[in-house]
Amino acid sequence: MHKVFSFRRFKEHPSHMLFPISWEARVSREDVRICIHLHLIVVDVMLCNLKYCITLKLLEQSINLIPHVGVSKMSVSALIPLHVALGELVALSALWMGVELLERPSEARMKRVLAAALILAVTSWLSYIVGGHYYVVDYPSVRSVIVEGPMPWAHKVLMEAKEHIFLAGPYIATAVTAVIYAFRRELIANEALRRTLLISFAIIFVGVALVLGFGVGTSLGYRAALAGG
Amino acid sequence: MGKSVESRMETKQAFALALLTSAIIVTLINGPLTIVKEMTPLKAALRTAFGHHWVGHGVILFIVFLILTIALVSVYRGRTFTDRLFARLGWLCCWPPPW
Repeated sequence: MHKVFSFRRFKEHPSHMLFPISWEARVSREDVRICIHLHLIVVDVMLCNLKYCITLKLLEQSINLIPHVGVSKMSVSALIPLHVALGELVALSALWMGVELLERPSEARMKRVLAAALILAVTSWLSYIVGGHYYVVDYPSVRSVIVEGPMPWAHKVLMEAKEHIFLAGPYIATAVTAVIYAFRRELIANEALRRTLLISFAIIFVGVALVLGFGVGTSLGYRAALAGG
Repeated sequence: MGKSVESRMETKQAFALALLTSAIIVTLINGPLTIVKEMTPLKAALRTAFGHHWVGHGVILFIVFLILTIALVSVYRGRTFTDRLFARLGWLCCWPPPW
């Protein structure tokens, strides 16, 4: 049975720290370069996420200190950063798979594509569950604030579109993961299949980025309502 | 250019294509279901049954996805797989409304 991670291999090949999986082939300089770029993106989006949460939390606290605003017990759910981080991982996985399939994949490359596909499927379902729970339990109070604020379209257009598009995402992610697993040998041999999947990943990435953008827009609407209240 | 893929599908390949086809159909149903919910008492019924209409919407889509996947596995199993079929499914997967 193939071991997913081993500390012995990790010691022998320090570059394995870049990916949580081991592979048989030698790691090329190109692989390491792609890896470092992807990790920089992860760090970047996580820092942005942290900054976003801190800003919203500070804003919420400052609003609660002002009695005439009339918005009391406003709380920013901890599920928001989790939902956003999972969404970012979905986009990153699609990007990762796209980068891996830019050229004809080797066996080793296909293992990484499969790992990224698994991350895509798992994170999209987790994001779906976390976001759905937040939307049903916590979002109604936020929605009423946004609708009464200076940017009501943040809910009426952006969130309405987001909640609709969002429902289809995990199904597509699951299907794509299953296809990569079942047709991994064909993907190495067949150029047409690889190109089809490559374009699919690009479109998935754009779709997820669009949904993330809508989320940011909704958050801006909430911030504007809190600040302008 | 790589060689063309034309072979009889194994069970796992049939299952993967069944998942892909179900995902396409579920995504195509997603839009009209939203409109039907707004125009009929379905929205209120889903709210009563599930607490929130989006929860009911998600449950409907999930059930449709499961049933279609199970049904389509037997349809795809043993069929000849061509890269043309795959290409068509791949494109359809990414172009449902509203994308």
